[in-house]
Amino acid sequence: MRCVAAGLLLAAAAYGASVSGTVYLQESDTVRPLAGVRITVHQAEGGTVLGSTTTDAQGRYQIESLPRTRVQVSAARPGFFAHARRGGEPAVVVDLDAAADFAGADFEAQPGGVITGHITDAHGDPVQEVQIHLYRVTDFGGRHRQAEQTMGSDDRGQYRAFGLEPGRYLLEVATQPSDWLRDRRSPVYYPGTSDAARATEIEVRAGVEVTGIDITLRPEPVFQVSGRIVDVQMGPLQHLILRLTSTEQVSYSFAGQDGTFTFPRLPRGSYILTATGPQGIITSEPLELSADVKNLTVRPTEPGQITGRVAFSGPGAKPAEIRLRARAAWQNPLETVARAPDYQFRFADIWAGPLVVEIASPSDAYLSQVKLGSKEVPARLDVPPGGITGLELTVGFGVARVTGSIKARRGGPLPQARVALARPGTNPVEFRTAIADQNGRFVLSDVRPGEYLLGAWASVAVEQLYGPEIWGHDAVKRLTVEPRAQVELDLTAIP
Amino acid sequence: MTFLPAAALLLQLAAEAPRGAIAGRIVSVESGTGIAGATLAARTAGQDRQPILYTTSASDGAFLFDGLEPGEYSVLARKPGYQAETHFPVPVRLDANQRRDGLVFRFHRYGVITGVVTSADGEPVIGAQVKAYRVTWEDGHRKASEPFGGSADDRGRYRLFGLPAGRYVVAASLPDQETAPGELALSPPTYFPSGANPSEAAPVTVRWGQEVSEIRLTLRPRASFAITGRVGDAAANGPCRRCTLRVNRLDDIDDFPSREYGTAPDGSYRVRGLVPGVYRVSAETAASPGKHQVSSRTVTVQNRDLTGVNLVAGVNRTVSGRVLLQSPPPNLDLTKQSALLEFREAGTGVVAAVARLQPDLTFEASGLSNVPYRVRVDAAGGRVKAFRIGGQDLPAPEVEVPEQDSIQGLEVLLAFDGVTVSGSVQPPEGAGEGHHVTAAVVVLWPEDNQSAYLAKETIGAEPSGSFRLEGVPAGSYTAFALPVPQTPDIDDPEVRQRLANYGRPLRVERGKTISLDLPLAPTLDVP
Repeated sequence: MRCVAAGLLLAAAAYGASVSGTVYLQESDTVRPLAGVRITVHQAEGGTVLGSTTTDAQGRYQIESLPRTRVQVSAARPGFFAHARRGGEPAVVVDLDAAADFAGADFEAQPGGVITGHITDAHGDPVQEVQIHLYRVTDFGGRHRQAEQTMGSDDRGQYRAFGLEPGRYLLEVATQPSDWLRDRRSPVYYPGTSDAARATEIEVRAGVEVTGIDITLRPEPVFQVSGRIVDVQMGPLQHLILRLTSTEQVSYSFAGQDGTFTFPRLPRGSYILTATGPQGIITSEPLELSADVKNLTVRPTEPGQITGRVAFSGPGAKPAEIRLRARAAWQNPLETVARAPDYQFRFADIWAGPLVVEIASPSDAYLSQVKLGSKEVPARLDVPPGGITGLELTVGFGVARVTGSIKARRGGPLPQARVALARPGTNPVEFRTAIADQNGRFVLSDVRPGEYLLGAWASVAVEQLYGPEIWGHDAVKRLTVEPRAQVELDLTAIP
Repeated sequence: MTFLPAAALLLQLAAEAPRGAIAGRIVSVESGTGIAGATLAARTAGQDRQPILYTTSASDGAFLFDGLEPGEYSVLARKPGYQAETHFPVPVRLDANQRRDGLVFRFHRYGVITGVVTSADGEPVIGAQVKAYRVTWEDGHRKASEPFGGSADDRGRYRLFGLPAGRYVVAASLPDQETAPGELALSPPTYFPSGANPSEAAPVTVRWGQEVSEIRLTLRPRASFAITGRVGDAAANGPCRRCTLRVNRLDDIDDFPSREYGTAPDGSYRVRGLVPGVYRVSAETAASPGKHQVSSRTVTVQNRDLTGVNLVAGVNRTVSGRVLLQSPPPNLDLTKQSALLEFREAGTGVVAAVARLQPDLTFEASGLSNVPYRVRVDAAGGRVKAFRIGGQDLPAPEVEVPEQDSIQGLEVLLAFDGVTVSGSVQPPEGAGEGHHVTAAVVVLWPEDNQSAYLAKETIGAEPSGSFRLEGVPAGSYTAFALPVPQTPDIDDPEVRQRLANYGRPLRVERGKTISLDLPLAPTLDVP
């Protein structure tokens, strides 16, 4: 419902503000205006598009009739990459309530780099329509990669990535799920490894084309699973859908008149075999696949359950009840209620397989931790046959809002600086970040209560924030955010 | 008990291993040479538990399945970048230890269109969207296929591949942009070589395996106009805050809907970049996703902006009425057969609503848009003879629901006096001894100047070549037997002309059964 709220907010805002600026092209040592750059103004929180235009022959733009709110201005032209002239961030943040007509949201663009190559099979024939991902690599907090572009190979097996920001890249040919007539392939990184850590980095410079980034794909072994689905009297069960689900693909088979089914060409791995009839799931069980499986007999089974209790993080009044939801594939979401005083809960009709637990209400509650025994586990559970007992869900309340001003070291507000909020003790660091507006003001909303580190930097690449070192600086503040707090504080930017 | 020597035991085991085999070649129709790396699968018919066998064609296109038990096999093959001319699956019968050699599976290589997109001053237009629409026919009208798309790279170059042979209209444009809440800027397309309208397009002919290069498109600034208006919400009795909007050009070859976008918070919208033409603006409330309950208005853009194109979304329109039966067979119980009335949008063919026939033969369909629908009735052997409103026959099997209203009392006259047409498809002249037709489509094309209720009748032939079409309404037709796959587009008048020698005139009269033999028409190269 966030977008509705944003829409209502916009409806309430006064209009009549404007943003203008110039985009420059920086090529070797020359700087000249760049025409044809698309400028887009988004709402700083929520992301709604508020206005857009294209730069003229002098590289200039102006967008009028904008609401008087915090906005984010960005520049894009295919084949180029652009960043703010001041601060070097990818966007300029402007508070149009503080300045109704903001001039000088300027950008600098450079021609992007290019990577090209061919994808071939073991015979040397081109492989068409494979999905290729490019990641930009940084070394902060361990080698970190960020998805940059996705493209496909053409009928000659050729691909071409362009408009790339200078830097180091990894190239991956994505997994291809198998089907009746197609082999499954694991991801392959350039030059030909399935291990991302052993992939060769590709150095890209502005306006330069890197050619010959070729990859040869090799098929992997695949297996067949066949069998029969029967009722308790061993009679065939008809008209059932069987699914084999792994983390990366779902395969289907329809049981024949005699209850038989076949799944061809599945890769090695862990699967959940689920049979569904007109009334819903009738069985769901794990299956490890490392060779052909023949004559598998599948019978209906009883579903299991998930039991446990809800605990609360932090002090404060607890609600009388917490409504919980469990979402599993091929099933309608299940709901249950954990009530005071002991907040115990139970989900019935739970089948083996992946399942996500979430909070349905109250609306400001969030799941801060999931524990099984004394061990923390992800909220996406791999449920074994029979279900789970003793699941402990820790619930937090009351998101907060952290705002403030960033000052330069020599005093005075620092526009377009970067602010970031981090969870202490994480590596790579888990953080949220925002850009300050023309007056050095920043807003971080929907912050969960807890302990944080807060810092501001005059010039920093977002990737650097993954490294714990940068958070050791004296000017980084420690902060305890209470439920529903409105925190306002000033920061001095780290140069 | 005697012990066999080890060698004798081995021999006996060898004798027991099945030695059946299926062998053949995958061949390119265009070059005549073998195709390497095609995947083939074989399975025995009817026995689901038998594993599926796989193999891959060698560098000369040869393939082999061996060690096979006797049985009825189905074989199919696939090679990315190629389309099969052979109709799969191919049935192969194997006796014990039999070897079936010499199967030839034929594939066409897809065609390619390449070129460059530039601006009027010759600069490459990076990121321009290029689409190729194959010209096809449907229900006697020229129509575009779903387009093959690509985009121009940093040199302005594009490459559209995977194209079946045909005639294509090629168009380029910049991507659409949402420029403000409720505001969409469309980019007028340029049709190859430089037309503003599809009628100015020079079709590009692509043959199987052909790469047509240097299809250069130049994007020029064009006079374009805007449509503005407001969308109300019938349920909320106020502005529609979360309506989705679409704009399609109706007189364009591309009549696929534009991308969806949202109205502004006050229900207003503005669509810019429209070149002169006929457009349909459609709105849908967020409460009715996927129900195709759409309100729309059709407007003509000439030489100025259009304002006040207002819509009310979320109106629940219904069509109700009853079915009248004409000469039904005894013991007919349509409700037992769960007879259905299907409402398809006349333009897009999308099924918008399905109404179930009640025991008293009444029906009601709800959630309809204010667009014309073609109505079909699915009832064993029954054919729609007429639609009537207020005792008047509608000129065509088409119903249009008013923008703010519903239709009551639609009478559907369902006749059971159709005739059965059966026969067999004959192999083409000059086909070798023993050749028989395994796959064909039989089409009865109604002659012109008859009732609009007479439609094209289609049935697939059995693998034996025989066919049987039931409930054919009385009238005059031309019957064709067409090859599968690469079935010629019989809706295209030019194709019907070219296949005239293979057509057989057919007069269907009530109370007669008809039997006829049809010659199999050839596959056509590009017109």
